Amino acid sequence: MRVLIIEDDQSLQDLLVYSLTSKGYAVDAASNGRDGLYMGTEYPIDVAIIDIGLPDISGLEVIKSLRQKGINFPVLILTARTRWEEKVEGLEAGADDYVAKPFHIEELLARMNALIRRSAGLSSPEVVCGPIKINTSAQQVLANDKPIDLTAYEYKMLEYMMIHSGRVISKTEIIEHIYDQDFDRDSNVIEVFVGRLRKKLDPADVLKPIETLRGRGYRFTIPLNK
Amino acid sequence: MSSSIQSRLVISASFILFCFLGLAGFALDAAYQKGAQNALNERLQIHLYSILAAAELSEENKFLMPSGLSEPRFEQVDSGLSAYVFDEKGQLVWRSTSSAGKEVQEHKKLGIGEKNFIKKRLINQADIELRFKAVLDNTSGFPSAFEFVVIESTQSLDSQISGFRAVLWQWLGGIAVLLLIVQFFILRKSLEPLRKIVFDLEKIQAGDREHLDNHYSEELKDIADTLNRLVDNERNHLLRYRNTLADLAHSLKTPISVLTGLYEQGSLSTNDVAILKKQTLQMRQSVDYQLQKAAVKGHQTLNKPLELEPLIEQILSSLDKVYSDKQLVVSTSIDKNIKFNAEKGDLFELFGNLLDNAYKWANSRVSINVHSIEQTKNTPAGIQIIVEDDGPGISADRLSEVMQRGVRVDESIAENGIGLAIVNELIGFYKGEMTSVESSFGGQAWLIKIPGRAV
Repeated sequence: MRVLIIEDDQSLQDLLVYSLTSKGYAVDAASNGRDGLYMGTEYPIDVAIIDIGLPDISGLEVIKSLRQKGINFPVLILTARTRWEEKVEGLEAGADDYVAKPFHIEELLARMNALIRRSAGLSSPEVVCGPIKINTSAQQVLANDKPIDLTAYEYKMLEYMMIHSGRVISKTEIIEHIYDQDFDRDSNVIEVFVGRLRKKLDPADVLKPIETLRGRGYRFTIPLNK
Repeated sequence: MSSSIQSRLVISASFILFCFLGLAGFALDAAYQKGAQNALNERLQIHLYSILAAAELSEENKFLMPSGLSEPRFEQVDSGLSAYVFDEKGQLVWRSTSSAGKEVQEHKKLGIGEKNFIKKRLINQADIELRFKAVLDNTSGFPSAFEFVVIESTQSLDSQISGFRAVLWQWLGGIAVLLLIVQFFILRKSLEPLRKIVFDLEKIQAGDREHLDNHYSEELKDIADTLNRLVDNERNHLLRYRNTLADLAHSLKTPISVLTGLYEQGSLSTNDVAILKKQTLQMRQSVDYQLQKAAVKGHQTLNKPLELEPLIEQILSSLDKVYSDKQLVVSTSIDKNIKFNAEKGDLFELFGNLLDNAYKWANSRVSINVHSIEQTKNTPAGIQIIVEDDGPGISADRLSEVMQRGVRVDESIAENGIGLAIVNELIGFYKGEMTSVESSFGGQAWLIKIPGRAV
């Protein structure tokens, strides 16, 4: 999952980047509205965390511009202004949820995950594709009710593929949503992850959850239980 | 005295008018009376001269009065005019025919050639008498002094004066009434700008207009300008205050977020984390609470009465978005077109916090009910708000704690444990009351009544 952070306070931005990357998210961070708007428009973002009080373009303006361009990833606003009028204004501008400063990182992550889930049309933190279940808030994976131990990157990749189950996902798309800018696109790390996921989820090679489409990418074959 | 300028002016102008007309009346009356009196005196003198001219003395110094004086009233009984002549010894030597039946007047000591007018007021009649002492010579040239008395009743004079008086006061009264009416309209017209400015100020207070249009009158121009500045100042002040608070909040909260994040990274000892956690929690709660409390305007000022329905709908659609996972059934019953005169930010806080709380705790249902209350003997007009949910509710022993400042019911539920405390405080500012009542859904229900102008 690729997260856009627009936060002008450097120490808070650093903290958010650190917390999110350590949980396995790909993070793009901007310190002002202009850069943030550019990243939001140009990068394949899954969810954005936007501070309302930015130095140049206000967070609200950024959200409005994004929505005007037809960009629909969920947006979580961070606001120090806990007045309801401003919250409502933010939500009306196109944000999907708000977190008031100061906040606990866990709370922010939980809200963010809920938004990602909701944007995929899921109403509970459980994402279920046949016998494979993941709990997005606990980041737990069960296959045939047996817990599966995955690394952060493996988990993120599985979550992304399951949420977009049935759709062909290119290698580039996976890289873009899981890794930061500086990832070496020619490496075979995605193939390696897919291989590991197949082994961990389906050791007996019965389910065949991940299909390889040569030259096009991968597809998660088990449909999502909505 | 009434405090209205118009009544002050009417009363003082009427006072002056009445004084003026009254004094003018008295002056005219006195002048007329004096004129009539003088005319009467002159008539008496003419009568006297006619008697003097007619009087003769015989050789034996006997007073003779040939009959047939020029004035016929002397011959007529009860004509109101009579004459007497006394000799030096005070003996009545002659009286006119008209004096029949009347008391003989006393003799007065007068010098020769001296004239004396005397007014007399007896029980039934008022008279004026002219006495004159003159020396008459008999045919042989021997002089004798006689006192002549001419008396005329003032009855005709009195009726003449009272007739004049009646006409005079009628006219003055009529003029007074006319002037009062004219004066009332003049004052009304002159005070028109003042009434207009008051009317416009009331409109500003009701929020129906923003400023005074400066077209009242030259004299009020400065006042209107000053008032406009005052109104602007109030608005700007509120705005500046808000912005400063928001900036302050922003500058305080970001560092607290960083501090909060620090102990979540796990690089500190358990003890440090515990202390940091406690202190930062306290900081965030007091910052939240104090800032929100300070930002609450809390009284009805120069604002437009706000339509509540769109405002509540705005909040509901925002909350629907935030709590879309819960798929709550939200029922609303809000008086169409209900308006309330309160600060917009305050209304957002009030409904935002109340509804957020209901959404947060509800299992499946939330309802909001807003109606205006008609004025009765015991309760003033205002609005009544009922917000209900089917959540766990708040136990009676925790109620006071929840409504107190800065207390969270459940720390694990994110965001604003201070919401209800803020609502409670805000309602207090608006002189309303907030009570926890039994919910028909089995959860928490709040009944709120706020007095004020519901439109």
